[in-house]
Amino acid sequence: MKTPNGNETDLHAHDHTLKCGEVVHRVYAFLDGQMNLDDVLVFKDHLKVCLPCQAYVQFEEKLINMIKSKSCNDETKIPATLMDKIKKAIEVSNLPPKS
Amino acid sequence: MTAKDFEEQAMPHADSLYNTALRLTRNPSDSEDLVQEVFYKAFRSINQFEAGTNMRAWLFKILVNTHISQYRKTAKDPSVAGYDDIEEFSLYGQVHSRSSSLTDSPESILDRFLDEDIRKAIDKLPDQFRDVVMLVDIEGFSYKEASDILDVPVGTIMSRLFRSRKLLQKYLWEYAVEYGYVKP
Ligand SMILES: [Zn+2]
Repeated sequence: MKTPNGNETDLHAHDHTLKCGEVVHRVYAFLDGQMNLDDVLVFKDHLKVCLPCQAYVQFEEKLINMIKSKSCNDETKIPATLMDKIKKAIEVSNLPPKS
Repeated sequence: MTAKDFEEQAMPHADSLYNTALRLTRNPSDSEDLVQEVFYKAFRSINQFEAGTNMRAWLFKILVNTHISQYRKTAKDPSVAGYDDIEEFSLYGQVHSRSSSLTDSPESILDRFLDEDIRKAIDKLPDQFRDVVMLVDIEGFSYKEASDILDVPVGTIMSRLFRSRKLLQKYLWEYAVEYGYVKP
């Protein structure tokens, strides 16, 4: 597994409980808030002491935020006529729903 | 649940269902049909909805299933299997290996992409990858909710998301080279 800078091995001298390669693999669970609290702490500890991983995680975070914001920019409202049509149809069939 | 209750709980999700339908069908008229079908199906089978659980996720599940059964005749997208190599791709790595000056951080390339580039890259993703990006990144569902909606394990959501984002990065890198956002 490669490190953020594309090196095959972990070249940082300091001792990690988490390897740089694992940061690459688990960055999305971390950024998506889908990592358990213990792992989040280990992950953050690594980022504190490892500048290459810090820069890498920032880059991935910025990219995900771009995907979110640029895609949400073009939200369209559902046509009002369609909403009325659906509401009317549901109200008219105001009976116990079929199973 | 009465029609009134249903309207109060389900209809507020109409806009996000409609937008997702637009992304899935790429066609306003098909999207209207699809959303209408989703609400009718949901209302007819409302007794299958457990009160207090996630109405939004339930509606999205009906949306995805209806779309797959009606529009995507081949529910299994065979092309998805061939994307193992993509896991190694890194836009950061590409940019990092090229940037020589200290002032030009890899992040600065991201500012050069236009909304249109991002949209085009998402649209280009294979369906099964695009579904996960839409649900997690655009609609903000958790991995667990996305796994319920698409009826696949959480691990599958994670690996599809990983590959989707790497594939997006690869497309963006191609645009960066093509449009001159990076020096050749
Ligand atoms: Zn590191």
